Amino acid sequence: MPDRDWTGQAGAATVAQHRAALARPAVGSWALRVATAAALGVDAVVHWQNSSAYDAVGTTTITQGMLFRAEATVAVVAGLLVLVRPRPSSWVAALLVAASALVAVLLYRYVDLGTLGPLPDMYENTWQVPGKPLSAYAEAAAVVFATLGLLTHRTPGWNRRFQWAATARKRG
Amino acid sequence: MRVGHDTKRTPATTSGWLRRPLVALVALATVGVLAAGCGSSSSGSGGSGSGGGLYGGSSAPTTAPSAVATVSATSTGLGMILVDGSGRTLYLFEKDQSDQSACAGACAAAWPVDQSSGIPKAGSGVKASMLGTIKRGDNTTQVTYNQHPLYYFQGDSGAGQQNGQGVDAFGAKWFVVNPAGGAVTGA
Repeated sequence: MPDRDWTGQAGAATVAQHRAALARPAVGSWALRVATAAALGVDAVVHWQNSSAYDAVGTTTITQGMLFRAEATVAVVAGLLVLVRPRPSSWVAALLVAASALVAVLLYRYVDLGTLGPLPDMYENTWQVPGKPLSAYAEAAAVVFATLGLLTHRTPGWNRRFQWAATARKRG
Repeated sequence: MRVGHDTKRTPATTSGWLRRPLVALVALATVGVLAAGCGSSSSGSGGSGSGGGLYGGSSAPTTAPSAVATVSATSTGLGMILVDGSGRTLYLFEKDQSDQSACAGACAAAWPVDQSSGIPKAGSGVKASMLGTIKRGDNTTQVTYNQHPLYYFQGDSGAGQQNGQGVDAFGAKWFVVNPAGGAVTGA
């Protein structure tokens, strides 16, 4: 296999380092997945608990309470995906859910956008709402965790290449 | 050109035990329970809402649910406004209708209602004829003035503060109340 010979040139120490590096993310990835899911879980709980208080805020199409329940649902789904199926698409889903929620809460805290098409006027110029600051922190944390998860994600192919390199080295 | 990835995949590099859906579900459920525990102090429908924990706020209103409330008027930078017996500012919610509160749940945790066990006492500067009460969904009694249900603001830590003035939350604005029974809309 000439196209893989370059990996076979690596010294035993290098291969060992690569193998050690591969072993480490197992714990790191586990922690990152749980942390991301936890942050999304907090976001979901706060949105779900507060949703009923916003049912009267809405347009004829949708209420803010409905949007909160939708946010809670997708946050739970994204958290589960990251836990059960930690693929790049799952990390991207978690990142999008957390980032969109964070942008929304910050935007509507400081900018009065009024109604936007079917979206209700969700302007709320205070943090004095139960769980609102906590939810914002959780969303920010989820953005960081999901980004790290995406950047440090290892595809299975990498593992095979390094395993092959180690075997090739033993064969001399 | 992509360097040969075999079509047959090896198992993912992540730790094996967490790949089991059951374990993952248990982990998420644990996280959910922990988070819900933090927020369990949420008041329910029409809550009396002093709040705490996730619904935190160290500034619970001083009126005990079993006490008869007092409403007075006091001079502030916003003019004469209604306060309770201990000088805490009282607010009205624009979304409320006459003798009807539109604030419950998380809203009532952020804006605790002014409760009274009976007809509230009129302090100095207020018209006793404008004072009244309404029964809320959770069977607590809320003080009204000129048919406006009255609330505290969790962001006020004590007497003399009006941090809730002009705040836009839960779909409408909140204002302090003048002795004539109207909203003080000035900043």
